[in-house]
Amino acid sequence: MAGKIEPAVILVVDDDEVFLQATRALLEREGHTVLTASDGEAGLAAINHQPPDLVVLDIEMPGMSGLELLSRLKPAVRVPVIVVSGREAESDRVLAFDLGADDYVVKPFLLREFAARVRAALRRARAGTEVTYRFDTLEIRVAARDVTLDGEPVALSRREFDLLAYLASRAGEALSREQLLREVWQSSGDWQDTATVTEHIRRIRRKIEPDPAQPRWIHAVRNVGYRFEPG
Amino acid sequence: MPVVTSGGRGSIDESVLRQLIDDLGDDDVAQISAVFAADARRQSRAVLAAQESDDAEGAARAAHQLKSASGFVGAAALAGLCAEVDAVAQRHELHAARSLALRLAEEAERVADEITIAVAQLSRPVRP
Repeated sequence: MAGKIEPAVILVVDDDEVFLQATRALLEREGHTVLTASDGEAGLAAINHQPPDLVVLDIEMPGMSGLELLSRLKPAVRVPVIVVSGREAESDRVLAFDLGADDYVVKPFLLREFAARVRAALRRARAGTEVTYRFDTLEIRVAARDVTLDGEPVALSRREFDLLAYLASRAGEALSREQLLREVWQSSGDWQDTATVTEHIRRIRRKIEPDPAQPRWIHAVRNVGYRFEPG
Repeated sequence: MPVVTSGGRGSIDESVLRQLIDDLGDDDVAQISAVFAADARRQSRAVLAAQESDDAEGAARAAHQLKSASGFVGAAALAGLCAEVDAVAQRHELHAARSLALRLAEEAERVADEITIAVAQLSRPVRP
């Protein structure tokens, strides 16, 4: 298959044995090491024990669902997650992305396309993670996925961190909500409400701004979106 | 008489199986088809049992999972029946869906019988 990428450790979490076998065969053909878990509890334990390079996660499992697993991932665990599901409803996709999924693929899918999505997710995860942003009292360490304010840690969700880090990486630029949806959520305003971005900005401001009503760092740009001001 | 047909005739779409073999190889597809055959029988029995006890959640879960796997191996008719059962269960009309559950079980049995043979036929080297 085209589009070579350095082999990775990939965890596939799904109770569907057919899917587990097929994705294992596919990804091993691409040179990856494939681990499997057939339920959410085992998947979460595997990730927390030794985070893989990527997780392929079914959201419809009995017991702990894939969505619950996503919500219970520690913010410090930075692992790209491709959600797979037999459900196509917009609400399912929105929820998965809001909980931190990097991609959403509906079963059944074409294997070559799926392999390409895996490669893309790995490339994104590997690109430029050894970065630290410092803005006066605010420090954002991308690889460690932690944020401090005046030396004190700031507790952010996975998506809050992703959004803040992206804004910081483009400090001084006005970024539209659509752009933020695309870059941070890998989504689109066509099928996800840009209010998601607004809500996450509100939460971040509450945590890092001395006065969220008069923000120091994250400014609204009228009719556009937001801009991170380095100060 | 060949059991594998193209263009959606019969229980399994040959083009889907052929693509799987191209992507994964004969041996892996043979293993997957065996797993699918066992899964199809198990899930269809689960649907029948759930229909008998009016267990909408159980029927939806079994049908939904079998639907995905069926689509994956090219069993479009079976996938369609699973979607119907899933929809009926979601509407809480499972108690009236006995014939649908039976049709699903029959189709699952047919696909389970045919898929292993189909993969073997498609994997056979072509004589010059």
